[in-house]
Amino acid sequence: MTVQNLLKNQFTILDGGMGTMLQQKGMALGTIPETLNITKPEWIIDIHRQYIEAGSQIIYANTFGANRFKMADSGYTVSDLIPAAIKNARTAAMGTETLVALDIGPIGQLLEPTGALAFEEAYDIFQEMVVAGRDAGADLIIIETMTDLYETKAAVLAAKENSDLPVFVTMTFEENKRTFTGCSVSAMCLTMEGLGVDALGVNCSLGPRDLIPIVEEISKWTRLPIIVKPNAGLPDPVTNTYNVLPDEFAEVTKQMLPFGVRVLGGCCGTNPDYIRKLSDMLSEETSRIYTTEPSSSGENSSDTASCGNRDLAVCTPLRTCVVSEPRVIGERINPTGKKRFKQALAEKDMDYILSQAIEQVEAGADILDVNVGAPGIDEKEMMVKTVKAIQSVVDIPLQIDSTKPDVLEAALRIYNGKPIVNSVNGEEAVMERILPLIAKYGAAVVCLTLDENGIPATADGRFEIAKKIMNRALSYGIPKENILIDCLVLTVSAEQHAAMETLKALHRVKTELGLKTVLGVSNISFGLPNRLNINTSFFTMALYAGLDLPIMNPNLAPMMWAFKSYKVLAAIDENSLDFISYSADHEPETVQLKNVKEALRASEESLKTLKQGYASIAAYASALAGGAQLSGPSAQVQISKAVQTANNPETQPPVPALTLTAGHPVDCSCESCRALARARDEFAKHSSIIGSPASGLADIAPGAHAGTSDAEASPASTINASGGLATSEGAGILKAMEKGMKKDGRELTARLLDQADAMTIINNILIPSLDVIGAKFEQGKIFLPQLILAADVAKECFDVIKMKLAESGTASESRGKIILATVKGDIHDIGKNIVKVILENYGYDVIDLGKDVDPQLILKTAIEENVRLVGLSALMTTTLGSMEETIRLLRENHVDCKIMVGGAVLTEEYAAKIGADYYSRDAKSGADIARETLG
Amino acid sequence: MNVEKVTLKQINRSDALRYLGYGDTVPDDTTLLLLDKCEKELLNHLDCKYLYRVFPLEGGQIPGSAYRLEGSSIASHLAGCTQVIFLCATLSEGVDRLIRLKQITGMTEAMMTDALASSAIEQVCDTAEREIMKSFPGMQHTFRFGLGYGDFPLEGQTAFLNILDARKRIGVSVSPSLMLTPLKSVTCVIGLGEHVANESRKTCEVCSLKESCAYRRAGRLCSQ
Repeated sequence: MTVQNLLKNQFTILDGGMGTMLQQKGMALGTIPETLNITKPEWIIDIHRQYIEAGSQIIYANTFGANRFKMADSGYTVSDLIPAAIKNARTAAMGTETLVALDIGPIGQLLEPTGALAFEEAYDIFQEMVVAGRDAGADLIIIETMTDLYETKAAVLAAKENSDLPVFVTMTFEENKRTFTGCSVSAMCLTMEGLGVDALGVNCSLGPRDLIPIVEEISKWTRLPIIVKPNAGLPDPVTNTYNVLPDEFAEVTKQMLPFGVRVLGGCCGTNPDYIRKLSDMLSEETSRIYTTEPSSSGENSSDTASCGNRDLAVCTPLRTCVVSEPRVIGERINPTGKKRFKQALAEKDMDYILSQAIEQVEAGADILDVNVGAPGIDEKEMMVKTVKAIQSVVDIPLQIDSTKPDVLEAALRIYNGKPIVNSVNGEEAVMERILPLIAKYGAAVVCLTLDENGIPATADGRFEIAKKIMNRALSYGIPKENILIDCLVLTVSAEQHAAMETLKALHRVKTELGLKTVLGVSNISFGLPNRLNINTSFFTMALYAGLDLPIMNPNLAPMMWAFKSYKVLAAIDENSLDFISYSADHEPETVQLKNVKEALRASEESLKTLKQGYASIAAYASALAGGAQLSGPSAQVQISKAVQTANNPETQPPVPALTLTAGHPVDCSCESCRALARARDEFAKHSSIIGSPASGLADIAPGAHAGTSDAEASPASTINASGGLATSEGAGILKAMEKGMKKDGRELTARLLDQADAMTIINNILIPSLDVIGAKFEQGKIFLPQLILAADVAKECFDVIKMKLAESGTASESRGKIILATVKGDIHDIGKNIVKVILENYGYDVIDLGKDVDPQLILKTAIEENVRLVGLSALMTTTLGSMEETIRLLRENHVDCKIMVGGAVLTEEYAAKIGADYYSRDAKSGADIARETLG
Repeated sequence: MNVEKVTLKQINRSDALRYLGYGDTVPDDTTLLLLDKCEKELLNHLDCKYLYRVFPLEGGQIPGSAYRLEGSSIASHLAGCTQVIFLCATLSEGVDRLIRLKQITGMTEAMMTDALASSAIEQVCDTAEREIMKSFPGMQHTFRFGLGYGDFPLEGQTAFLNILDARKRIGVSVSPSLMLTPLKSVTCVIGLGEHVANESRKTCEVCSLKESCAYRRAGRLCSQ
C-alpha cells in the first residue's frame, strides 16, 4: 500500500489520540511521552495495535515532540527516539497494510519575530527529524498541530528537501478561523498548496462541531484532499476528561464530508472507540457520492492549473489579498533614484525602510514591492533582512523584486506566506533559472514581455512573448493564476505611440490569455512636466484596458483618487461604499491646489497663520503679475512654487481657484468649503497687502515659506551664535518637542535648513532643546513619556536633516559610534530601542545589533567598527548571565571601550559586580554617559 | 483544562501610569490624549485567554506527578492549601506585533502601549482568579505566585507549560532563556484550602526585583 493508492479511496482513516491513551496506561504527569518509545515500547505498540484494529489506515508514530529542543533534557537524542518510535509502529502494523507516519509537531518555542528561534534554525531542527524518520522507514510525513505558518513552512521545506515522502499538513484553528498566531485558513491553504503538500487540513483545538465552519472555509481555498482530526470536545479542568462521546463524534464528523473531507481521525481525548465509530460511519458513507471531485494529487500537477479559474491570491499569515479586482502594489521600497533610500541601505537603517513600508500601507497599498539592489550592497543578505523586518511589522503581502536568482530564492525561502516575484522575462536563460524557483516555492510571478531581442515595439510582439512565458510556466507546473504579465510601459515623451501599444497588448493578454496584468505606471511620464497629470490619466486608461496590479506610489493622493474613482465607475466598488469611506478620511485634492490647501488647513488652527498664508498668496499673485521686484535665488523658488500653486496665472488668477472644493455645490457648508469661504473673505480683506510683497513674505506660514534671501535673513530667524534658543524656530522646535508635534518639528527644521547648515542646527537648536527637556525630566517636572515624545519629535527633525544631507551628498557628522544590543537569550528590546532613539537624537551613530545578540557578534562589531561605547540591555535574571559573559569577552579581548548596562533587574551594585563601567538607570542617563565617554 | 476568553472593556490606567514612572502625579493633557489613543488601539488588538488546571496537594506536592513544586518560597506560600491551581494567561501575539509596529512609528506610543499591556495582563489574571474561584465556593485562595518568584525556579517554566499544554491550547511557549512568548503572558500558582496562610502579599522579601524596585524605593508595595 502506498499513500498515493490510499488517497484514491474515497476516505482514509487516521488514528486517534496518543497522549490520552498513555495517560490511561498510567503515564505520570510531567513525563516526556516520546521517551516511552524506549522505556515502555509495549505500551506504544499496544496503543498502535488498538487503533489498527479499530480501522486506522495510517498510524502516527510517537514522534510528535521528538525534536532536539524538546528532548534536550530527556536523556535521549532524536536519533535514539525516532527510529525506536517508527520501529514500534512498524511492529504494530506488521501483517496489515497500515502505513506509518513520521509525526512532526511544533518545536515548542516561538519563531522570530515574536520569539527567538530563527527560521533557519527551525528548518535545521525539522531536517534532523525528517532524516531520522526517512532512514527509519516512515511511509509519509505528517506535520500537525501547527499554529505558526512560518514554522509550518520550515517543516514542509525540511520534509520535501530531505525526503521523497508524501507530506500531510494540519494546523490548529480557533473558532475565529485563525490560529493563535493569527494565521488564516486561506494563508495556510495558499502557502501549503504552493509548497506542494499532498493533503492539508485541521487537527486538535476544538471538537468536531466547532470545526465544521473551519472545514468549510478550507474547502473554499484548496483543491487538495482535506484532513480533519478533531478533539473529543473540551476537557474538564479537574478531571481532564472530554465531553463528546464516540457516537456523537462520528455523527458530527459526518456533516463535514460534503466539504471534501477525505482523510479523518481523532485528536486529544479520542481513543480507539472513536476511530471505530468513525470507521463504521465512513463505510456507510462510502456508497454515497459527494460533489467534490477526486483530487489530482500525485498526478501531473499542471493538471491543477487547467482545472477551474481561480483568482490570483497572495498572502501573509494575517492577510490574504485576492486579486479579484485591481490592487495597488506600492513601489517605494526601491533605491532607484532615491539617495536617502540608498543611504539607508548602506547604513542598514532598517527603521527608515520600515517607515517607508508603513507609510505605504497607511496610504492604501495592497501589496509592497521590495527591491534592495544597489551598488556596494550585499543584496541577498539585505533582501532577507528586509523581508523579515517588513513582515515583522506590516501584514500585507510582498512582491520580491530582484534580477538575481540567488536573491530571489533566499527571499522565497524565508518569506512567510505566498509572495509575488518580480520578475522573469522571455529570455530562455532567465526562464530556465527563475521558473523552477517559482514552481518550487509556489509563488506568483511577474513576467516581462521582453526577450533576447529586447522589447517588441508592437502589441502583437509583446503578446507573443506573454504567451511563450505562460506556456513555459505552465510546463513547470505553475498554476495559471500565478502567472502575471507586465506589458511594459515606455516613456511617452520618447515614444509617443508606445503607450497605446502597451495598453493594446495588456488588453489582449487579459482577454485572450486570461492572465492577470501588472504595469509600472509612473514610468510613462519621464521627461515631461506635470508628471502626475500624465500618470493619473494613463493609470485610468490602463485600468480600463484591464490592468489588475499597478505598481505605483500610493502616497500620491491623486493616484489613489484615480484608483478609487475608477472602481466606482467600473462598478467594482459596489454602491461606492469604499469611495465614500475613503472620502471621509481623505480630503479630495487636486494637484494645483495642494499648496494652497495646506495653508488653509493650517488656517483652521490659527487665524494668525491664516492671515500669513493669505498674505503670502497675495504676494505670490502680485509677484507673478509682475508687480514685485524680487531678485536672487529665493525669488526664483517662490515664483516656481507660485507657478505650481496657481493654475495658470496669465489667464486665471488664483482667487477664483479658491472659491470651492472641487465637486461641491456653491453654497456647500462642509468643513473644507467653509474654510475656503473664510479664506476667500480673508483674502479680500488683506488684498491691500498685495502692494507690499516683502512684508507678506517675511513670515509666510509653514509650508509656503522660502525665506526672504539667503544673505539677509530676518532678525526673527537668525541663529543665535551662542547656542541659545532665542530664535523663533528654535523656540518653536522646543515647543514642538514638548507638545509632541512632529509635523511642526519637520517644518521648522526645513525652514532652518534654508538658513543654516545641519551641524549648526543640531548643535545649537536640537541638542539644547533636548537638554532643556532632559533637565526637566531629571527635576521630575516631566515624565518618561514626555521625554520620549520629545525624542520622537527630534527624530522627525533629524529625518529632515538627513534627507537634505543625502540629497546634497554630504555625510552627516557623527559624535561617535555606540553599539546597542539586547543580550543573548533576551527578546524584549523596547528598553534598548528607547535608549537608541535618544542617543541618535544626540548625534551618535548607533549600531543597533538587535535582540538576542550573540556575545561574539558584539565583540566582532566592537573591534571592526572601532567602537568606544557599548550599551547592553537585559530584562530578566536569566539573561544577566549573557550580559556578564559579553562583558567578560570584551575585556578578555582587550577591546578599548566603555560598557554601560541597563534593564529592569539590574542595580548599580550588580552592574559594578559584572564589570560594567556604567549603570544606566534610564534613557536620559544613557545620553549622559555617552556625552561623558565620547563627548 | 478549560480555555477561557476575557474581554477587557478598558485598561487600568493607574497601573499603566505607575509603570511609566508617574507616581501620583496627574499627567499633562498631551500624555493623556496619547494614552487614550493607545488604549483604544490596544483594546482592538487584545485576544485575552487563560487556561488552568486544578490538582490535589499532598505534602506540598501533586501526587503522582513528575513535576515538583521546588523551593521553600512556594512551600511556605502553599501552607494550609489542599489543592493547587496552575494558571497561564496571555494577551496573545497581536499585542507583540502592535508594540513592534509602534516602535517604528513612534517610541512614545510604543512605550505607552507596552505599559498598558502590562496592566491588561494583570487585569486578565484578576478576572481569571475571580472566575475560577466561583467553582470553589467557601474556599480561601492564596495570591498568585509566579514562577521565578522567590526561589520557586523559573526553570520549571517548560514543564509547567507542558502540564497545561499551554502552547497547544493558548499559544504560550517559552524561549530557551525561559522567557514567555507572546510577550504579555503570565504563569502562576494559586493555592486553595479551607484556611490558607497567604491570601495577600505582605512583604517584598521573596521578590527578585526588590533591589531595583521603584515602588519599594518609594516605601510602597506593588500590590497596594
